[in-house]
Amino acid sequence: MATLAGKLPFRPGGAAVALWPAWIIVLCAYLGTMVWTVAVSLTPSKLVPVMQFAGTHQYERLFKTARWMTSVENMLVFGALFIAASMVLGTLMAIALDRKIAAEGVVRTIWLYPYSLSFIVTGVVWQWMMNPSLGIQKSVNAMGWENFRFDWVTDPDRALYAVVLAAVWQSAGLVMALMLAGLRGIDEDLWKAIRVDGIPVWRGYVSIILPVLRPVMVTAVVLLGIAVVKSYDLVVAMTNGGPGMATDVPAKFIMDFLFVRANVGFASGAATVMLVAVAAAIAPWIYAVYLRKR
Amino acid sequence: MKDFPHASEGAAIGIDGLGIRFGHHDVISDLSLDILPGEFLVLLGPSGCGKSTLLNAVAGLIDVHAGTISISGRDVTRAEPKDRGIGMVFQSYALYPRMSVAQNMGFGLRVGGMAKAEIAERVQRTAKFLQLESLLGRRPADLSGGQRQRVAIGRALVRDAEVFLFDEPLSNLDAQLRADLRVEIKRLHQSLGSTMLYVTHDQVEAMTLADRIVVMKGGEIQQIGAPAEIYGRPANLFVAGFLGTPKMNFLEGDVAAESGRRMFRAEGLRLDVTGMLLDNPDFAGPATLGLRPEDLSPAGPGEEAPLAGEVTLTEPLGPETIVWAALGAGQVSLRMGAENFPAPGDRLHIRPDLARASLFDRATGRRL
Ligand SMILES: Nc1ncnc2c1ncn2[C@@H]1O[C@H](COP(=O)(O)OP(=O)(O)OP(=O)(O)O)[C@@H](O)[C@H]1O
Ligand SMILES: [Mg+2]
Repeated sequence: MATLAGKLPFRPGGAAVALWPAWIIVLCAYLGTMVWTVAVSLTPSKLVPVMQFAGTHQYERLFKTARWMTSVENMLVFGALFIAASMVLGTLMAIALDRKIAAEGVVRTIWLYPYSLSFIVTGVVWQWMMNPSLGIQKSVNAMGWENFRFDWVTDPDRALYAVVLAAVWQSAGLVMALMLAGLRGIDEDLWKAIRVDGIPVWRGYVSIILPVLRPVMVTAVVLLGIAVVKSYDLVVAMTNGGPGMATDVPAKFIMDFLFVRANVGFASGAATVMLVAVAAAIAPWIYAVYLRKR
Repeated sequence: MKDFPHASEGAAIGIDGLGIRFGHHDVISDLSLDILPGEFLVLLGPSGCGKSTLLNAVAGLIDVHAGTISISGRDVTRAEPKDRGIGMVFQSYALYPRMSVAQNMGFGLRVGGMAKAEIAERVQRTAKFLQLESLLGRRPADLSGGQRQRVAIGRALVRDAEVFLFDEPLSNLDAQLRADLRVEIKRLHQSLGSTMLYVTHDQVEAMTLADRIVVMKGGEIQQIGAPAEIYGRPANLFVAGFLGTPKMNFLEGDVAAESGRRMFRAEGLRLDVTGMLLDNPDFAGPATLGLRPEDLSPAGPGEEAPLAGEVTLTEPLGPETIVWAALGAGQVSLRMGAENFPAPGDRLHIRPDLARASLFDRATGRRL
């Protein structure tokens, strides 16, 4: 042990000291604010926090609020479609590059480029493109197809899908980059074995290669899932939650009640529900990927 | 190991005028080789000499730009790997990581549309043959290196292949396991009787396994022959130096006729090599005399000893000892017994066994 410690480039004690600032930030900024939010959610606070116990009053109110239930439902639909579409599209693109079907340099840049934009920019761009009086619909109409309609953002039944479309455009490139890195790491001999065994390429991907990349896929899904829970900027930029409540999401709901409607206790209750839901959803994954041996 | 129940006869492989090119770089050009049915042929050579490339071409994993490959008399130059009746085993095992041992062996058959019962039976038989029965439910990650390689062999075996291709299958294993598996592969060949093409850069593997060895260098075949022939009568200086540890001793000098006798002359050395059987008996000129360490022995008292020098180093290996001595014409090694070997600094008189020596033309490197 003594010789091992002697070989390390730093003393173990020094490393612990160096990590202190990080620990302070984690404890105060993350855990502290979490605890504070949960505490406030148990009070009748309105504009300013008042420390007075009110039990589960805010939670009872929350689940009777139609707008909250709609926003949760929207988030689930949005999340399911967004994650599924981004994963499928990103994986297919990665495979296309891996198979050298597409010219890598160009395609990789084009597909990864959207990810470097902020959701606000994406939202504004797509809002313009999908705005019936400005964007795609207008151009196609002008080219002579008078009956062409592409008015998803203004249609309450379709607006959510418009947001999904923009979000997928933004994030599929990330999945592609992650999956491509994974595919590049696959042992060449594995592909040779697959060919000698007479297994078709698509079957090789589905049954052998993609299962190997499961940790990469889990990482991608977690990253996309975090984007779903945080989905606020894209919605605000594209539809501002409308038309009506068609694209409202919990994050926007919480922000509204925090800063616009001045109802801190109520918003904290909603935030706490989100926290618990996310923790419950991610815990099994964290367990599977990081904690379980092998 | 018992005889494998569904073994198929080995197939002949014919390689004719083969050319393989990566971009503008010819890795193999105009290579021809005939492999007999049921033969164990080892491709031996230094890294980058094109062994794997040749094996992959036989497997159909890379495109050939010239020449033909036939298996069992059928031209398979353009055939898909699965249609060539081959099984292949890789250095990295290349097992399907997320599948159990049984699935690893059966998946190819399942995709090929074979009935479930038949697959199960084949997998069972193969597992029994390779003593993998207790491991059928495990994942590759839960196996040792040796077990993984046995599974990889099993995956080739269930396919009922007529030809087995091995690409350095033992290189990732430690020395002990390597020796064990080497014996297993030899038994496998004996009980299957299939044709085996085996790539290695380990000369012990090549010597112990092969019916014939093909020594390659720079994409070209240097010599083809039985292990004893390759070792005893190397065709050129490269082959002579590549096989054997310690290396063959080379003494540089020239060959000249002197009053009807053929003499090899080097610094401080005159050897009568008239008795050596040469392909080119009339040769005269610069030459290299090659002597294996076991073909040099210390001369007893009174015996004639044309070589003399001083011992510089001894390496006791257990069953034998390697003794290094400095002669006027260079450094040589001798293989001696475990006991009674000289100490560094001793003067040593050495007697070469010229009947087993090799002479090479120094200009071309070819055996005389
Ligand atoms: N895909 C490829 N593209 C370009 N050059 C290649 C490719 N594969 C192999 N080569 C070249 O072909 C030559 C022979 O390679 P090969 O893999 O057959 O060597 P090898 O004898 O198997 O060596 P090793 O013992 O290291 O496995 C090398 O010079 C290598 O650089
Ligand atoms: Mg190789």
